[in-house]
Amino acid sequence: MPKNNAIKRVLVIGSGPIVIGQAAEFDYAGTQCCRALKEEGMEVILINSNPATIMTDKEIADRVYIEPMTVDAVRDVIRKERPDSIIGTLGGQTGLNLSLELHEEGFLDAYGVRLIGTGPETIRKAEDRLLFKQTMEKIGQPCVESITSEDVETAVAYANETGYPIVIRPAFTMGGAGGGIANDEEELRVIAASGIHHSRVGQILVEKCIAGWKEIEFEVMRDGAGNRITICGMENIDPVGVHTGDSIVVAPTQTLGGPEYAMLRKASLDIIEELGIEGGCNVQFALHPDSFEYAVIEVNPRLSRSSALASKAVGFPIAKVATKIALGYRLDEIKNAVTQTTYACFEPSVDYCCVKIPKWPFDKFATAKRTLGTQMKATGEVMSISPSFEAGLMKAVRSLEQGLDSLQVPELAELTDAELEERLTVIDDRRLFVLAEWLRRNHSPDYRPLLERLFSVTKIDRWFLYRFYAIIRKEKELAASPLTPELLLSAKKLGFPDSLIARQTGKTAQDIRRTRLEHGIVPGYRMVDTCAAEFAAHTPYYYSAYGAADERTERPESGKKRVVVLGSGPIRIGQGIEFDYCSVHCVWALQNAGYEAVIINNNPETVSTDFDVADRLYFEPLTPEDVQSILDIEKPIGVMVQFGGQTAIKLAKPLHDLGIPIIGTPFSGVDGAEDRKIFDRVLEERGIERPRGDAVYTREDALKTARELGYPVLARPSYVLGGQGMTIAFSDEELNDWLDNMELYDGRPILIDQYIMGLEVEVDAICDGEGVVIPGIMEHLERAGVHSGDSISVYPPHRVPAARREVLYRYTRDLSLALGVKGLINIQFILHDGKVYVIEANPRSSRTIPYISKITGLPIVDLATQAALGFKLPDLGYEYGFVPEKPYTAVKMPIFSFEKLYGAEVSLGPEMKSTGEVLGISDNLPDALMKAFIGGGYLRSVKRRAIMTVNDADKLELCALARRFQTLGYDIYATEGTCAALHSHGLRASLVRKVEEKGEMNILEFIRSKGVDLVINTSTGGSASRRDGYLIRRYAVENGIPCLTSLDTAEALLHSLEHRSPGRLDVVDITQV
Amino acid sequence: MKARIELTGGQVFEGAALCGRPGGFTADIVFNTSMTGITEILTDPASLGQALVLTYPMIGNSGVSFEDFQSDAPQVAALIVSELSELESNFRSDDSLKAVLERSGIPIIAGVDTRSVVRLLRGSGGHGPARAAVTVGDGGLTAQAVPVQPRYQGKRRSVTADKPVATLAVLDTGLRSGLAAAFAARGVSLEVFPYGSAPEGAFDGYLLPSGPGDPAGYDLAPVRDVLQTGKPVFAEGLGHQLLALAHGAKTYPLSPGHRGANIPVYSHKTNLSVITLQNHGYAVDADSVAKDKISHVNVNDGSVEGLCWREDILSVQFQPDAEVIAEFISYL
Repeated sequence: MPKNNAIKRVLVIGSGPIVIGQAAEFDYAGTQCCRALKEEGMEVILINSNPATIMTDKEIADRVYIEPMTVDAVRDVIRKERPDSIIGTLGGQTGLNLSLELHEEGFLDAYGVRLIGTGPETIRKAEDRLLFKQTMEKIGQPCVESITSEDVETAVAYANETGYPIVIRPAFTMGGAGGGIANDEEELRVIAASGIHHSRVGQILVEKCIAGWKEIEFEVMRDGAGNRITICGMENIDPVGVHTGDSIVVAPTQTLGGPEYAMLRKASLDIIEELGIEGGCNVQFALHPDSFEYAVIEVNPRLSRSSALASKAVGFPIAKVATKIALGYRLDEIKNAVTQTTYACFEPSVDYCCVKIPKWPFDKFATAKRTLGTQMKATGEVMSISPSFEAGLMKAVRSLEQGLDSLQVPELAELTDAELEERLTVIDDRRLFVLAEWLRRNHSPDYRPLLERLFSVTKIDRWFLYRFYAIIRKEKELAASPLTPELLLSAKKLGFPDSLIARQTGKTAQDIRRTRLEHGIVPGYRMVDTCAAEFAAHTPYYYSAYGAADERTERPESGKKRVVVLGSGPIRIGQGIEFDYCSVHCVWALQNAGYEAVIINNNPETVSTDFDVADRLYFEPLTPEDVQSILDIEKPIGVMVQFGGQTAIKLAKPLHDLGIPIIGTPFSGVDGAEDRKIFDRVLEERGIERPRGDAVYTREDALKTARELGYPVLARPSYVLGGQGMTIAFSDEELNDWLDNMELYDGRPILIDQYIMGLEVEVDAICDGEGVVIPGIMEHLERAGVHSGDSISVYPPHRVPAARREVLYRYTRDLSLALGVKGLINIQFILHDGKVYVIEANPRSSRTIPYISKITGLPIVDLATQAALGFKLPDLGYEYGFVPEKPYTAVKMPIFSFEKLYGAEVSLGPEMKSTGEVLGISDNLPDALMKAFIGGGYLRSVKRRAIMTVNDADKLELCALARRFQTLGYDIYATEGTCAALHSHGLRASLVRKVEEKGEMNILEFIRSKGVDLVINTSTGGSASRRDGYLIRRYAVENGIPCLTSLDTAEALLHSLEHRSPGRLDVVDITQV
Repeated sequence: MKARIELTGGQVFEGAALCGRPGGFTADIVFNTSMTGITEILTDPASLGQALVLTYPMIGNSGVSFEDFQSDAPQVAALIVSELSELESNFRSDDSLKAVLERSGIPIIAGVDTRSVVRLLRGSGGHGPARAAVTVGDGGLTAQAVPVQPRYQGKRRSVTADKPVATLAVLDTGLRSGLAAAFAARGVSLEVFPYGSAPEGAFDGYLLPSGPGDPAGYDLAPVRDVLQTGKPVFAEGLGHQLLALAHGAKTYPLSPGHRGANIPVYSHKTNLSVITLQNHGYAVDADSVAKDKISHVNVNDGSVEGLCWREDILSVQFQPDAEVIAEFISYL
């Protein structure tokens, strides 16, 4: 069954902004899909509101719409572009829901658009909880005992009969949004209400709790003819009860015997046959640990986070194959891209083990609950590949970049035995390390009783527990025995880094490396080939293994100069998909310039770890040792550290110390921007102003400096990402409070700066060592103090006068040249009282690069790569100076995942909290803002009722804004103080009761009843009102009500509501901008 | 104990023998890419006498369940792995893999860079199965040759279905318990006779099961006798090859063999490809049979995977799934 020739113009729906539960994996899937479509000669039209993605590049799609992910916007794109087909199964839950809505309302039929790939009937059967259950019953597949419900009372009645705990799963959602495990009726009422709210169709599944069963996932594919294959079986180490996105996962399954595996495999294939999947699908099972009893938990009839993981784990391009299936191909007609001789119709066999560990944002949210349950909390993940589970686990732990090189966590070592025992029962992000610490303290050669004890508490399979034990046993052996070459090799085979071996043996990491090299103990690099070496493969996709023959060096050399690009590791707040965009573009730029590009990264969700992006991919941790081992083999002319965010730039120093050339800005420039003393000297020499401040090491000095500068001051630890730990202190008391929490940064300086509340602007510049090209200036809507990543950012600036622009240019040029920048630099400025201050400079790519590249059409990473290689910008056709502005305004709107992080503080400040972003583009600011607000989900309802409750300092300003809201027809509700202020200005406002005042019109109840569609709340001093504000904000986000915590954001919303164009907003094809 | 594996090409791999007695032998060396179902492979009569390399690196994780045995005992001559798991964990496990093989005196050689072995074996060229000299023990032992043509010794026995609808006679070259159970589950009883001994009695048809070794080394008279009866015949693996030889077709050694759980087979009958389990080192030469007799082909290399000599004389090279078996039973 060959390609369907009626398909010529295909609309691909992306997944929108990065939020918890829907991350970079859909850029990977979407990009692969678009490339597969183009390979087949299709014209590709793309819609995705997320500008940080590679799929929204004009090289990937023919028409690109960075528009809000709403039915309205997709309709407009269809009206304008008239595609003949649409693919909705590659854009996560967002893409799936949008395509289904368009189909259900008859719009697709009306416009003659086919939904290709898995069809609407199938999607409904898999996603509608009741239909799904009926379908499973029909084919005899057991489901967990459950009911579907559309109201809380039905759920409560069922739960009271079945017993607690009970699980709530909303229909048509991802990442378990709005779901959870309820232990009693009270909890059930809260979770059920939230679940009904989060579901697109207001439906939840109320399910018997089977926590403790094994959780097994299968990635399966089916083509239109009915050929079916399983790509990979995966096993969650954390049993049922923890969301699979928050579980440590291993692929392939490890503890299933042949018959159980065969049983679940067959069940998966039967299920996709009955559903009629045409493409990829994920099936999740719960398997009783002591019998063949199992239950189907759920099915995702689309590409998912798990399918991205499975793709990378076995080397099978699921998105590409799913796309070809959508075009009509059969699995046995599609070539296996890895072997190039066999076909996609087979089941990958691997000869290694992959371990995935989630990356959680709890370092950013001190108040958020760290326990893990059915609602996902991780922002990203890392994966590792190794012949042994132990080495895989150790590599994955290193890849997380949380300051750990192993299972040893100093904080846990300080717990008393009793505290540690207590921690065993807590299911949170640290459980693995708690188990390791417990095994360390209770170590005994007779390990079976230890495993039984831990199994009884955790229900983690004994096989995994034994492997944790084996790691600890090796730690002990290293500490107790002389370090023979055999012992050293055995530790390396278990994934021990030199630093850990050094710590256990009282040596230095350099000693260990030297001993290793003396005895030839170095890793070999094996190929990921889908077939366990049965066939010769062509994939340039490698992982390290000790005691293994090296397959890399067998490959013939291309003769080209080679550059190693360091990727950006897991997606986390402050370092998102933008840096993968930059890494991938750097690879492409190097290849275009005639170099061989090698990439190292460990994030399975990304495009950079797709094996056909770089000339060679190493799926490895980004630590000095792991990178050095690769460099020993690759012998590149140098390493690119400026595109992989903080992960990569952090390696500049160790690589520099090893004498490895860094391509582009040298280490001295990186250091110069980070080291306060050097940076101040550079600024002074060049006559560049900055807020005054100092680097201090003690509490006394901090307070002294703050008083000298005058409050407010900005306080932060040095060498951090995304403003981590940063605060604005208005008094000694606040600074003292903050310093109390800063012990983590012991030994590193703390920076105390004058806090200037001005207009914040930011530039990304390309410097070739002689001059700079500035693609554009971005202006932040919120006044300085809100982290730049959390600010609404506007290009081009509307409030920067020409004279200031000249200063911005001069400062950027002088600073770049002084630091020796070759490549990219991002500089943040504050404009205040006619002056320009530099707040910070980072000689690396920034999170605004993709956005500014797209709106200006300038190939920024490409130019920066060439500048880093030594080319001069004028020779490449770019004059120094500002690039002329485009006649379009682009507004970047941060997107948060607060509702997923129970307890997290919502109020914005100098520490970054957003997980993603959307872009609004138009030829005027109000419309661009409007699109950004729509894309950000701020304008979903039209009740026009707002709650306002602000601190005293903001009251006057609020009154002016409130008047404008009133003019627009908003009813205003306010708490006592704010209400009085509004009344005194002659504004109408209804009083709502404070948090602690029970009764009608209590503010929290009012929010929960969804009486409003906007909350404006600014944080206040005083612990009681601070707590109230926190609760108000939490209630707002948990009930899906937009909450603005800065008046500047409210002003922007007003500006856009007041001045937007009437009627529908035009969709903009950015390839034509 | 040390262990040493020397391939015909002279390449040497070293490992540790976790069990087995000191000594040496020469055997066919094969690899299997299955990630689960290891007990089944080790006890499959088709694995008889082989030095078996498993590509999956952590073996023995779920232990051994005697229920999964495909014959009375493990059939391999040696098991070669990267790592044998010290701990097994599975509710069905009756014993550890090490204990089971130790009882049968079969060496497990661990700590071997199995991927490198496989990379050599896959490219070893097509003149019959690769051979290896395996020595176990610390002294300078030399390998003793074992028969190049191993034969599985079938025993006269009966497998009775609950409510039998038909009875087949089995010419036992190496009947897998799994195949017997699949027939019994569908109401077909089996009367099993050692290959070469004449089946006595009246049967509804015949089953030629799988087994080890080169089909060209087998006496074809028993198969011809079966065909003489005119009854329905079903054959798997070696039986499929013998049935083809009896029809005048040719067989040839594969290099490497097809051994794994992921092999795609296209069926001309259903127009679909299915993923199959296979464990064989020989195939029927496609050029030696009429095209219209070929019912199944291998998607990867186009080799013959199934033949249909008559509507009710069917054979497949792979371990048949429920549909294939049901189709045959429908002719009884």
